[in-house]
Amino acid sequence: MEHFLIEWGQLVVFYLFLAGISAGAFVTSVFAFHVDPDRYKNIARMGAFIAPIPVSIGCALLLFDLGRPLHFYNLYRTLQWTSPMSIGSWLLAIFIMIGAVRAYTFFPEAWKIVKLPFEHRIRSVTALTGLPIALGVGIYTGILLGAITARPFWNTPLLAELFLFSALSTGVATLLLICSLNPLQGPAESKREEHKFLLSFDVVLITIELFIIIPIILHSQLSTLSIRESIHVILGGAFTSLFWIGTVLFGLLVPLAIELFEVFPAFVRKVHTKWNPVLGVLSSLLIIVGGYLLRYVVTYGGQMSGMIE
Amino acid sequence: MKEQHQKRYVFVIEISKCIDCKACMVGCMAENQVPVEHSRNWVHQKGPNGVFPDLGMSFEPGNCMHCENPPCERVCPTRATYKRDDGIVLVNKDRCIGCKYCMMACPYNARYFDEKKGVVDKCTFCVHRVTAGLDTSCVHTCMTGARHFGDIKDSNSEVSRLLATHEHHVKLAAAGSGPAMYYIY
Repeated sequence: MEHFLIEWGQLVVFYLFLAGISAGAFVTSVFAFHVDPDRYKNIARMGAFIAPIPVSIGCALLLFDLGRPLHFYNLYRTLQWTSPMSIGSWLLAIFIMIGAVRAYTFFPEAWKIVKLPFEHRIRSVTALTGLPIALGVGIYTGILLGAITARPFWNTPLLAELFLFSALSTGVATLLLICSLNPLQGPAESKREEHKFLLSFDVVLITIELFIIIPIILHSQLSTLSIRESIHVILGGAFTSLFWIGTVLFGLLVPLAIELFEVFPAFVRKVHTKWNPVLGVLSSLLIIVGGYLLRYVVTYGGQMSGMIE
Repeated sequence: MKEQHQKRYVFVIEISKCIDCKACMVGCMAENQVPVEHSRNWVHQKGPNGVFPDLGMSFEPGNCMHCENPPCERVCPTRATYKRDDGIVLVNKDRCIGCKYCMMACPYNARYFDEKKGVVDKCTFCVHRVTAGLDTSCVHTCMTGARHFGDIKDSNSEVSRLLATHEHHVKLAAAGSGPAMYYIY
C-alpha cells in the first residue's frame, strides 16, 4: 500500500461546503422571486442576503490554504480553459460581485447609503446573469475534483452532479434553518407557503442526490481495478460509516423522511403543510452537516486513491 | 547545411540493473538543494514475489516523467507549470501560488510542496546541467548504469538505440499522459 499525503485538508473541505451553500441560496432566491415575488418575498430576500457571505468566507479560507496567499492575483492574470480551478476562480469573483449587488437591492431603505437607479431592473438583471454563474459555482467544485484522472475516487462525471445538487440542497436547508429559527414577520399563512416551497424544492433535490449516489456505487463495481479499489474507502474502508451513516442516512434519508412527513399530505389531500419549527431546524441541520460530511469524505477519500498498474 | 531538429529529452531505465542504492536520490538532493523531508526521485521496491526458495525482487527508480501531455500543466490555473519544446516540464516559481492542484493531477505523485517557499516543486530534468551539455545528476550518480537520458528524436542517441533494441514499457499508460520515462525489464 502506497503512502498518501493529504494536501487538501479541512480548509478546502469547508470552502467547497460554503461555496455550495452560497450557490444554493442564490438559486433558491432567484427561483422564489420569479415564481411569485409577493408570496415568497422573504425567501427571495433571505436568499439574496445570504448568498455572498458563505462563499466570501470560503474564499478567505482558500487563500489561507495557498502556499503563497499574497500571490493569489496570479489567478486573475490568465484564464486557462483546461483548468477547472482557473475557470472556478473567475466564476467565484463574478459570483461574489453579482451576489453583493443583488443583496444590496434587497436592503431595507434605511440601510441604503447609496440609492441605486433602476433598482428593480438591477434586481432582475443580477438574477438573470447570476443564475448561470451560481450554477457554475455549484457544479465547478465537482468538476474540479472529477476531472482528475489520477485520483480514481473522484474521476466520475457524476461527482459534478452530486456536488451541484448537494450545493442546492444545503442552500435551501440554510434558508429553511433561518426561516425556522426566525419566524419572519408575516402572517402564519405566508410562513406556511414559504415552508412548503422550500420543503418541496428540497425533497426533489435530495431524491436526485440519492439517484446520483446509487449509480456511482454501482458503476464503481463494474469499472476498472483502480476505481474499484478507490471506492473501497467507503465500502469497508476508513470512511464507510462516516459516509453511509453520516452522509446517506442522517444527511439525506432522515431529513428526506422528515420533509416528506411535513409536505406530502399537502400534495395528496387538501390539508396545510405542517409548520413545525423544531422539525424544520432538525432537518435543515442534518442536511447541512450531511453536505459537509459528503465533501469531507470525497476530498479526503480522493486523495487516498491512486491509479493502479 | 545541417538541419537542426527539435530535441525531445526522455529517460530510459534498465530495471534489472538497479540495486536500490538510492545514490540517484542523494545526488539529486545535493545537486538541486531539495529540502531533506522531500525527494524529487524515488526507488520503488517490487516484491519479493514467489515462494521460498523461488523468490524475486526488483527495484524501479523514477521521478517526474516529463509527460507529453502533462496533466499537471493542464490543470494549473496560473500557467506556472509549463512544457518546453524539448519536452521538459518545469514550474515557474514566480507564477506558482501553491494551490497544489497539480499534485492532485499527477498520476505518479512526482511533485511535492515546498513549505518554506510556499510553491510546488519537482524534478527539473536537471535543466541547468543538460543545457550546459552535462548529463542529469541522477544519471551521473547511478553507479550501475540503470539510468539513461537523451534525445529520442536523435536515432543515434543512447536512449534511441536502447529503445529500438529492447522491449519497453511506460508507467500507468492508461492515464494518457504520455510519460517520457521508459522502463526496460
